Amino acid sequence: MDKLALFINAAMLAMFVENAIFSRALGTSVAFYASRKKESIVGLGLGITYVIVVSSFITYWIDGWLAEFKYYYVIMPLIYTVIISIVYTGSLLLIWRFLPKVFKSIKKYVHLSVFNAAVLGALFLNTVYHEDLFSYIGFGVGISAGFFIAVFFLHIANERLNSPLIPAAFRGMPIMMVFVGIMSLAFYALTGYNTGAAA
Amino acid sequence: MAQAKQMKPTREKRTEFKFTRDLFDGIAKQNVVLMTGIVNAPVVIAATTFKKGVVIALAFAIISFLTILTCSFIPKKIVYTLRVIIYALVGSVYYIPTVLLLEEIFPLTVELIGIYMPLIITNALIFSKTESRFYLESRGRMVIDVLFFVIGFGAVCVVTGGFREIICFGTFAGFKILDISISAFESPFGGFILVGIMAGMFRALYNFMRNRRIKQNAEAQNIAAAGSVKAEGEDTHSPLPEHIG
Repeated sequence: MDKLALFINAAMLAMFVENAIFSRALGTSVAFYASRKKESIVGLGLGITYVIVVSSFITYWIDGWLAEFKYYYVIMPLIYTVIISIVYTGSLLLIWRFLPKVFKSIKKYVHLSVFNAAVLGALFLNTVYHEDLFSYIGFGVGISAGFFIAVFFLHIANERLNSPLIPAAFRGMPIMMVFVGIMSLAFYALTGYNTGAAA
Repeated sequence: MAQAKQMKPTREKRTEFKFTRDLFDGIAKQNVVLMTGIVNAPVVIAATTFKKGVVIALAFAIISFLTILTCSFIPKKIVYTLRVIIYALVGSVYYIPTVLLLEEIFPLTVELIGIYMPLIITNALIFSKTESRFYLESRGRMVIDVLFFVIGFGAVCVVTGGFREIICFGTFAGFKILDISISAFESPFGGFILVGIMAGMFRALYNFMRNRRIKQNAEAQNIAAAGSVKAEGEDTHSPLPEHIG
């Protein structure tokens, strides 16, 4: 029961307090890209979730072995990249072998859901905040779900934000950034952010 | 045998080196933060002071430039789906000396930037722009092109960091210059809103300059065309040759 609580706590923390987009800006450009089409949201969301969860599981053991090494923080990106690359290659080979049609349709964009700041950032945050396996995996699931929620919000807003009512220079990325900023403020309010104005 | 020779994939010919206007795209027209928005996180979250802006800009410049240059030697025969792995690995190898060097120069700042420092290795300049632009150019041209892209990012990063430091703490590079403190701009939502507004204003300015240049070019062409028509007209109204008269 305690383990389940750890898992849920870490997942909730990742989803709302450490939201990949609204609180950490991890994978923002990928989120903007994915928000254009409903199909890309599901595809990228699933891809990112899979890579983060599997990689989190592996990094938990690696962190345990190498945490004492003085220069671990310097070689950590290299080790994490190797882990992500192994997960990516292994999964691709399996898809290529057993689901060739799926492989054909995803091979052009699959790297977007693997080599992005959301995946690598989730692994770093996991190392910073957590110590047990269930928190690691819970955080991985939560950060992917948070990313999915954020992209879904962006998708809903996408059409309105590209309307002619928006000045031409602000249409597209600039107004999207402002929108993400306002959403980020809402998420901060949810967690009790204090600007210090009342003090 | 001859058929097999014909089937062998031929390497795409890269563009020749020409010093054209589009070589400066990385600074304005295709600025990775303000125009295309493909690199956001370090500027939005981590560039909250001038010093942090400088460190991020330097780390980005060293890692991106060396990675793109090194990876340009990877044969195109390897499919892109697998080549990206090498890009990521090369980037993370270059990260090691870069962060050690920057830690020597700016020890506290590197620590304050935190996870946004290693995240530079997954930037879209390495993973997307290489395939769509840099690796289609000749190597000499590519080097200059990458430099301008890196300068474009660095300039935005330093300016954003400096501006946020002034409005958040009233200081610039650690020196007190104003007595204001709007701490909201230090937060991610402040960063998003600020970068969004900066991007909109930059685009408006860029469009204004471009339209003005197009207008000026059109006017110059009209004047030149009118001049040539006038000259032709003068030719046609010229007195008839004597023998015709």
